[in-house]
This record gives sequence, C-alpha cells and structure tokens, in this order.
Amino acid sequence: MSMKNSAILGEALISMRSTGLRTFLTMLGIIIGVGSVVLMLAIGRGVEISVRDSIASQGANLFIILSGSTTASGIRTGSGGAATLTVGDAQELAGLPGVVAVSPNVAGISQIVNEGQNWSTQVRGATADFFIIRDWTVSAGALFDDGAERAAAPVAVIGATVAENLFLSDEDPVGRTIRIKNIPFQVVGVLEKKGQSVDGQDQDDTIVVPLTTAQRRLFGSPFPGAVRVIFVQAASEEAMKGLDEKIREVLRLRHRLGENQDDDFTVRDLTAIGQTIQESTQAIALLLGSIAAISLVVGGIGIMNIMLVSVTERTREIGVRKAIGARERDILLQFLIESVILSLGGGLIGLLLGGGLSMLIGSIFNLPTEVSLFSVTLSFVVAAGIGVFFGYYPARQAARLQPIEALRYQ
Amino acid sequence: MSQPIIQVSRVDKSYGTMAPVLRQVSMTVMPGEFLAIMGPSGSGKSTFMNILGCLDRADRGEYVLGGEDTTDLTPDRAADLRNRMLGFVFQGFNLLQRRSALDNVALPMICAGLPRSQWDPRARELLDKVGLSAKYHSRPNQLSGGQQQRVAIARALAMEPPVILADEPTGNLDSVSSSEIMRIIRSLNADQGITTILVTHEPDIAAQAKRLVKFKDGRIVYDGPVTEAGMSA
Ligand SMILES: Nc1ncnc2c1ncn2[C@@H]1O[C@H](COP(=O)(O)OP(=O)(O)O)[C@@H](O)[C@H]1O
Ligand SMILES: [Mg+2]
Repeated sequence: MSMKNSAILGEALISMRSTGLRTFLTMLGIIIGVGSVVLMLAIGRGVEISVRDSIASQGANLFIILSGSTTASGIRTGSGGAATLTVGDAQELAGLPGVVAVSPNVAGISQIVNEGQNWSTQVRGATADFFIIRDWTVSAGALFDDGAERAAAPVAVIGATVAENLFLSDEDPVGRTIRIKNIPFQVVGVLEKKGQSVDGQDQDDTIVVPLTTAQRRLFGSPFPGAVRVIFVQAASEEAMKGLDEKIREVLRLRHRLGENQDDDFTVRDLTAIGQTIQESTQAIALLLGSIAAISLVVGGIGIMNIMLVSVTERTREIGVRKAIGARERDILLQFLIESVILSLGGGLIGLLLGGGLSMLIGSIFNLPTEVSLFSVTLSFVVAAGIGVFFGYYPARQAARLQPIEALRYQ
Repeated sequence: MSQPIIQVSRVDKSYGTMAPVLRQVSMTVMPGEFLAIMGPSGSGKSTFMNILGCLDRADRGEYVLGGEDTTDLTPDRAADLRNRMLGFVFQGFNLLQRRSALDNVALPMICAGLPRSQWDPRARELLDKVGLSAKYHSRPNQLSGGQQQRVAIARALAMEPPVILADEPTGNLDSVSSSEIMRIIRSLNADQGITTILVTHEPDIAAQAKRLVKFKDGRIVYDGPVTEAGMSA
C-alpha cells in the first residue's frame, strides 16, 4: 500500500506547470553547463579529426627538412630562406635505415597561362617519389615518372584548383599545353582533390613538375643540385623515433658544420605539429570544461535554492498530503522528480544548444564537429546526477516535515 | 459488546515550557458514536484532535486507535493509519489549490496506490453524494466555502475510514452552508455508522451529536449526553 511511481511523477509534473519562467531561469545554469560540455566535446573531436586528416594528407610518418635556418649572429633567416640542401643530401638520407622514400623539392610562385586564362600559383619541382610520400594519385591522365625526371621533360601535373581556374569545366586539361613563366609545359595529369592542409592552405592550388626541369628551366639554382625542401618518409611511426637526430647528424656532416655552428636546416615533424595543435585545442577545451563545471555547480545550487523555496511555499500542501496518508517516500520522490525534471530539461536544452552551436562553428571554421552518443549520454547522466544531488536535501526537508507543523504553517 | 474504536488514557501534552495544554485526558469512543467536543478557545480541543488524528503525539499516556497502540508509530505507519482509519475535515478546508475537485477527492486513493480505473469512478461517486456532480473539474477558488467543505468531506470519505475527525468544520461558513454540511455529517453517522468526532463552538451544532465532551484548561470537565447542563458545564 504505497503511492505508485507513475502517480508521483504526475503530481510532480502538475506542480511544475504553474511556474514557467521561474522554471526556465532555474534551468539556465544547467543549460549553459551542459551546452559547454557538448560544444567542447564536439569541437575537440572536430579538431582532432581535422588535424589527423590533414596530417595524413601531407603524408604519413613524414619529416620535412627545410633549408636555411640561422645565421652566425643568431638571426633566423627563416626556414627555406637560403638554399643549403642538395639533391646529394637527399640521396644520402635515402640510405638511412627506416627511410622508405625521399623527395627533394624546389618551389616558387609563378604565373601560369592557358590561352586567355591566367593563374598565379605555387609550382613545385619534385622527384616522382613526392607522389608516393603524399599518397597522391591523379583523377585524370598520369603522374610523371623517373624517366621524365632524368630527361628534364617539360611536363606538369596540375592540382584540382589550378585545373578549375585554367580550364573550362567541360575541357580535358590532359594533353594541353600551358605556359609557366612563359615556358610551354604539357599537362600530363590532374591530381585528385585533397582539400585544406593543417594551416588552412588549399593543397590543390599547386602544380608539380620534375625537379630537374624546375631547376634548369624555371627557378635556376644558386649552385648545382640545390633544393629548398627534402621530404623524408619513414617506414612507420616506430621508425620515426630517433630518425630526426640521425638526419641532423648526416646533414651536419655533409654541410661541414663545426661544433659551435647552428644547423643550416630545420627538421620538422608534422605529427609533432599536430600534437601541438591538439594540445592547444585541449587547453581551450579545458577552459570550456571548467566553465561548464562551474556552470553546472551554480546551476545545481540554483535548483537547490528554487526547490527550497518551493518546499517552503508548499509547506501547507505537504501537510495536507501527509494528513491524508502520503508517506515520506512519496513526498521525497515527488520533490526529487521535480528537481531531476528541472535539471534534465536544462540538460536537454543545453544539448540542443551545444549541438546547434557546434554545427554553426563547424560550418564557419570548416571543422567536422560531431555530437557523439557519448556526449549525449554524458549530458543526461550529469544533468540527472545534479538533479538528484542538489534536489535531495530540499526533498528530504519536505519529506521530514512534521504533519502538524506543516498544517499549521501560515 | 464490541471493542472501543478510540481509547485515550491519561494523555498529557505541553509545548515547550508553557503551561500544559492537555492534562490527564482520558476518553473512550465506541464504533458508531457521534461526539461533539466543546470548550473555550485555547482549551486544547485542536491539540486533542491532532493527537486523535495521529498528526501529533502525546507526551505521556496511551492512545489506542482501532486496536492499535499509537505510542511508537513510525512516520510511515502513522501515514497508513491516517489513510485507512481517519477522514479529516478542517475548518480551513485544506484543499490543494490548482487542482480540480476530482483530483482533491482522489488524492487519498492515489496515496494508497489505487489505479485510476478505481479512483476516478469512486471520486465522481463521492462528489455526486455531496451534491457536486456539476463541479468535478472546478478548482477550489472557483467554489464557495460550503462547496469546498463538501469536497473536503468527499475526500475524507474516499478510503471509507471508520472515523471522521472534524475540527470546527462550519467555523468559516454561513448558516445555510453550515446546516447543509451538518446534514451530510449527520447522515454519515446515521446511515453509514461512521464514528464522528466534531469540534464546535455552536450549541445548536453540538446539539445534533449524541454525546458531548467539554474541555476547559486542557481537562475534560464534562462527558455525557448532550444536555443544557452539559453545555454550560
Ligand atoms: N505549536 C504550538 N506551540 C505552542 N503553543 C501551542 C501550539 N499549538 C497550540 N498551542 C497552545 O496550546 C493551547 C491550546 O491550543 P488549541 O489546542 O489550538 O486550543 P483550541 O483548539 O481549544 O482553541 C493554546 O494556548 C495555544 O496557544
Ligand atoms: Mg482549535
């Protein structure tokens, strides 16, 4: 002989109907708290996916060696500033254990012309291994091979953005001749679309020609075989460990750098850069997380406060209920359900708000944000937990009221 | 001879350090009795009714309700006793605002865990019985005092309790409503044999009972038939 749970739920819902705005204001802290948690998780996930994808698009297990680093006086000339690397360096690095592919590159911005169309873009001179390292294939035509490299053939593989800008959509660029710095090149292939890189650059806005062709015909060379960049791909993540140190040793030896001379090159590890980006994202997430935590506590206290007010306001009602036979458990549950509904309602609105905001931010910053099942579950568990935790004390106060005291109230 | 339904023996009650409100009160009520309690204001009538209603507890003495000693009741057991054994009618009605008459009458049955299929027809039947067939869905603030008190009586009857406790049920009502309420209470006792204990200030209302108990300064000073002598005791 005790009140049915469904009946208690009904009583709680009816009691709450009458206090619309107050109910909403009480939910605000939970709304903001849960909203921030959802947003934080969605953005964190989005950044993680986007960083991982763009690092993968740069090539897996990759070291990028840039020529030029510091002068004797310690002033940085900026990576790639002075050509200090050579094709010979690249060939020697290819012999290191754990290295699977090496591609020396030169690059420069050039004006490209196709009949009436003009486009200014980065032209890269690279060995054929470049395409292996980048895991890049063509959507039309073919890549150039080592033969074209040896012959310094005037051939070019163009990126999707370049193709869009130099050719009409119904034209096939393959086999056509374009002019780079007024020198005719035959387009042999169009590269598959890659999208943006980690730093937000359009990777498809590029043209790749054989390294030898670029050195001899396009950019010239301060000394024979000079290159700006060498890409070194390791066999695995495992193989990358310590490889950067070996690369430095080899290059310092080849460049005849004395013990107190700085490197004249820079070895970059994209995975490390990705980690840095993720770490800073995590710092932002942590900030958002602490806002969320504070908000949730404030929200919980708000719920506790409003429930205490509600218990006081309804003291007489509690007395009547007790007089006609409501047990302590019935009263406790009724108030507890009210506070859980408050916090769950706040959680639901927060979830929708956080989800909506993360979609908005995702579309503005081109991030693949997603609200996972985990964050949905987390919001509901946290919200319900807050409702129970902060609602328990007021509910117990209500349940423990002496019937006679409650009836005499006011 | 059957068992007494209410047996109070030498009950004391005081609040804090003030003079005792009830002193050595004893009273025995048999099933089916109709009893009026009178006495000056502050003489302890309501305090006594609250103890009878298991809403409050005596400091000393014994109270047996329907054969059950109420001295050491847990709060939940007291709630069950109130639900099954007692129907309350208060001076101030004590209906839940913002709830329909039907909901108010249903509340004791909902507390007892009855399903809607049982409480809904029963609540309608009770409201019909007190003449409120047209007011199922009215809120208390849409009803007159007399109508509200009738809802309260219907609520008190919901669990078919053997005892009705009414503390000045007509205290807030005009004479027309008052006699209507008394007609209903009389018939509960006469037709259904419900033991009825009623506190009142008005001699003509007390005169409708079959037994009179008079309080003065926390003591029972008269317990007997309703007579002129008893009233003025
Ligand atoms: N909760 C309480 N605290 C202190 N004094 C009380 C309380 N309830 C009643 N009293 C006192 O007890 C006495 C009897 O009150 P009550 O039983 O309400 O009298 P009656 O109903 O006969 O008018 C009064 O003096 C009243 O002030
Ligand atoms: Mg009184």
